[in-house]
Amino acid sequence: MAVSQLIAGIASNSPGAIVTVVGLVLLGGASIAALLRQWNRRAARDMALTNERYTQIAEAMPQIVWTAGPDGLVEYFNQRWPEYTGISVQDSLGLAWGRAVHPDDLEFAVGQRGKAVRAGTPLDMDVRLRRGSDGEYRWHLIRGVPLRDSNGVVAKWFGTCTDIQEQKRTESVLRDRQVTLEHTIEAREAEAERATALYQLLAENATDMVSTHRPDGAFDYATPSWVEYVGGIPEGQRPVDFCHPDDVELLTTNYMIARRSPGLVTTVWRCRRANGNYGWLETHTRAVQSALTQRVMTFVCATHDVTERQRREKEFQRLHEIVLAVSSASTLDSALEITLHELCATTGWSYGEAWTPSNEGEHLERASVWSARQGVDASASPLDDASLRLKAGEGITGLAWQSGEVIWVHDIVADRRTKHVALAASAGFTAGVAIPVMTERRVVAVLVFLMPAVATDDAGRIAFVSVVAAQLGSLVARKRDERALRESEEKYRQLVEQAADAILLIDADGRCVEANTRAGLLCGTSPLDLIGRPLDALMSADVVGAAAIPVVQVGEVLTADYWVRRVDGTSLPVEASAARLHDGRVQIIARDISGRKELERLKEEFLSVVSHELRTPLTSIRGSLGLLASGSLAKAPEKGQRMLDVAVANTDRLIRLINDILDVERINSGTVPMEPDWFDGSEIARSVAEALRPMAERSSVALQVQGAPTRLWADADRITQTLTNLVGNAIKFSPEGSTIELNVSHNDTEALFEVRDHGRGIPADKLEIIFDRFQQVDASDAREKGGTGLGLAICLGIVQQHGGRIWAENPADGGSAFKFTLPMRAEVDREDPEQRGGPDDDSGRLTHVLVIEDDIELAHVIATALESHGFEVGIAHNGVSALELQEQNIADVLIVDLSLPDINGLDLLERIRSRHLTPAAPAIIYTAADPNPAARERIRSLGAELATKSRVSTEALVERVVRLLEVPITEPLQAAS
Amino acid sequence: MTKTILIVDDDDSIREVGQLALELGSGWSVLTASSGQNALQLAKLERPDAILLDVMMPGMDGPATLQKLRADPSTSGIPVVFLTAKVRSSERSTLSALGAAGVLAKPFDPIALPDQVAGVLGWAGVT
Repeated sequence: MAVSQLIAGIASNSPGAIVTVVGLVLLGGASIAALLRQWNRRAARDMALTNERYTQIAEAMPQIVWTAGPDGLVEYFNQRWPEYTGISVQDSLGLAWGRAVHPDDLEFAVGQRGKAVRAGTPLDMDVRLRRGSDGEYRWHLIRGVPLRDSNGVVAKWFGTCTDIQEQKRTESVLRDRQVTLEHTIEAREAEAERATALYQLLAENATDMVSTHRPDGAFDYATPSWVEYVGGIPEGQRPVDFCHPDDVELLTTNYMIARRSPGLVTTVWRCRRANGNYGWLETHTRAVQSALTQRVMTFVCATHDVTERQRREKEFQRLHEIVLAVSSASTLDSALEITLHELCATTGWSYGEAWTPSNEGEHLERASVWSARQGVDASASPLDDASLRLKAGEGITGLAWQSGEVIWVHDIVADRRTKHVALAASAGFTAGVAIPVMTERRVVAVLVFLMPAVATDDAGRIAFVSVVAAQLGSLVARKRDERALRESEEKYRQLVEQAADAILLIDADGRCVEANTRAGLLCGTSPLDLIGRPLDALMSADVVGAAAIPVVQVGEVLTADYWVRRVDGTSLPVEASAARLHDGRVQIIARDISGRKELERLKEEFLSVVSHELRTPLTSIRGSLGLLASGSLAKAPEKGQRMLDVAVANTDRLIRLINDILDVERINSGTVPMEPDWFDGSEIARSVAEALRPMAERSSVALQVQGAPTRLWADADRITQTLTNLVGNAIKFSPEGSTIELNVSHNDTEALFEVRDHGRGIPADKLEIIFDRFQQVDASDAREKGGTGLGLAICLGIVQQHGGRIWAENPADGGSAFKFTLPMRAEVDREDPEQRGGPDDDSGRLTHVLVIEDDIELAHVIATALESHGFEVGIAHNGVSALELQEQNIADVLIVDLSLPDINGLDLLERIRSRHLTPAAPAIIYTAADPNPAARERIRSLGAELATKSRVSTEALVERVVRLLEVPITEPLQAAS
Repeated sequence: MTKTILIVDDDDSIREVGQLALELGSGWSVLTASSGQNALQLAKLERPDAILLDVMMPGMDGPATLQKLRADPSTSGIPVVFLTAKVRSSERSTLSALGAAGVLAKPFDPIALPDQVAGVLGWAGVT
């Protein structure tokens, strides 16, 4: 077997060279001699390695080393095997090593082995091996290579088991970090394949370096790979002679440690390579002592290049730092700036830009630029052009924005897809890459980097940058979510504060953690004061009991009436709803219902009183009629008559009562509109006095009325009713021979009616409540005086409907006084009719108004209102009669309904005008429906005014007539008479 | 011996009708009072066998009158029957709980009234 063949075969079995040595050891005496001869020729001139020394080297290896017979049954493991698996070498030979293999991998491992043995091809598989110390299964790369004799028959198998758990873990971490970047991972896989090919090529040349050293550290033996790595090892050179100055101390120290300790010492250090650059090496050193002297005879070192691993570790660390920095950025712009700076510093790329979409999303705008390279011509940067904007798909930046994918350009000048041609030309950039920053499916920014050329490891860097870009994207998304959350929280807070209801948030311990202003008001304190208070102390199911806010489930809302315990010890009834939030807290919304409760109580009380009041006369009616109907009074006709009288009197009382109840209800609810009109209050007072005089005379009471004319705009019937009630009461409660005074007076703003008696007066505590329903000073009054207990309540309702006030007083000289006011309405000054003109013009003729209206009642109402103001009024219900009337008595003002039975109101007005009957007479079109624009235009052209019936009352219509004539209104006729 | 019964009501008509109904239907001697105050005086003076008492009266109402009657040893033993326009069962049970012998409703059937009063008081039928 040719040694070159052996070397090549073994070299393909990483870590390579050392296995060669082990193989040599185990081949047996004759072969060893032959191999040694050849080996010596190739590698070292005077090496006298003994079997023991080879074994020592094998044992010094950090990996598990094994050999097997041609049949693939393992014959040897180095010490690493029992150290790792905890299974003795003896118990692992043959196929027994399978005991250490993960059950899930065993079938695979045995199969792979069988396949390799049958085919005689190298074995290469990833299998999990059980670590004896803790039972953990760690991934191992198991490699084996067949060693053939001169006939090409497999004589031996040599192999290693290398722990690749960390590598696997690293790969998994990378995968986790790059889930969003599958395309990049594909690129990495392609690279991995290339790297594997490269590795195989390198392995052919035994890249792992094995060396032995004399006690002073000088190289004794070094594999060709070592020699090649450093570019030749002159006699007497030590590793420290190739060491980076910063690592010399570490390397020296570790040699000293290795000298004193029996185990392996591992050193990671920088070694100057043949090309002058430093590479990272990991060297495992073991000192070999003389069995006799116990002195260190030699150092055995296994070394391999870890430059790439170091770079990755550094990248991961950097990545972590960048992600931290980016995460702490407050805005996208500052995050972009940090990213550019950090990425350029890490990747060695010397120029970077960040672009972000404009607000409208129509184009990209520059956001940031960073350049590491001194002397980069800033003016050559496309960013120097402030107006530069990129559309989707424009340049690699626009392409990355459009596609959401990483876009490379390998020759900026030739490719012409970038705007960086000038910059590239001036600064020597050749290649560029655009990397999108994604938030979910949206590109929120594009990073563009320029570099002198695409390096072999740039794909790895892109993967690295892509991870940063992904972090940046998630940062943007998070910031956006945070903002949305903040806004939503702000909205919630405002809602809570503005709510008309009290809102409380109760934690799992039943304590208040949030309360709005309303909640504070409800409890009679500040909302802050409520924080921390137990709910039991704030709310309860009844006034005295403990809290009974029910256990409410998430998504459920319970509403019920409770009592809020105010801090002053009082209680308020509330209607509260409780809902459990997803975080377990309970939100309680409570509304003060004391008003509603009071209303309910009053209603209940009123119904109870009404029921009693109605039943009382009914009892008498039912009783008296029952006795009459039974015939038991047939023999006592006078008693029968008496019972009839009782029935009649109580029927009358019942009627009065029902009338008053209905009246007070309707007036207070406002369902009966007041029908105001102009009248003289003093006249009303006089007429009421006249009407009640017979009743007063029966009680031997005198009535006295005083009052100046007081013109009022009010419902005369209702005011009469009010005065009748008050004077009637006064008569009932006046002693014989006394006088009741009825006074009417007014000032500019209000009229005052006063009914004064000299009766028993009203107890001070009753002055106000006597205006409530069924609240007589003495309830028996109702029976004795025939009242219903509702009279004053009705008076109150009427006066309030008019915007006035009513009250009772106890004058110092005894008796009582009931007073009420009504507001005075301004009237047009009519002091000087001569100057201002008036319904009576100079000739003494009354102003004539013609009302043309087919609604007979409405026409009458309008006419009456006009007449009451001193106008002479003519009425026409259709166009024909209107024209006739006009010929008899030419009107000064026309009021025309738009839709007449025989002619359109506007046509009629046109005809009246065309006849020149009343060329200058103002006209008001009084219409039920809003006229269309054409009609409106015609109304305007006819010089008429428009008045809509729904908006202009009869009274307002009269005021318009007055204004049209620019004359004041006169005393109403009934007042003047 | 003829029973004496006192009707207390602030309404003149009801007193009048009630008195006539009881006199005609039972032959009891009937006294009337128009207020709680009058009722107390009359009860003390006349010691009626029962009192038919209105509930809603001005001044001293029915329950207050009953309380006073019970407080005075000379009247505490007189059975009292409320005669009331309060008809809701809750109101009637409240009245019963005050210690009245019974509660009769207004309006009443004047022909049946004597029997109803006798029934409530546990007296022998009057017809």
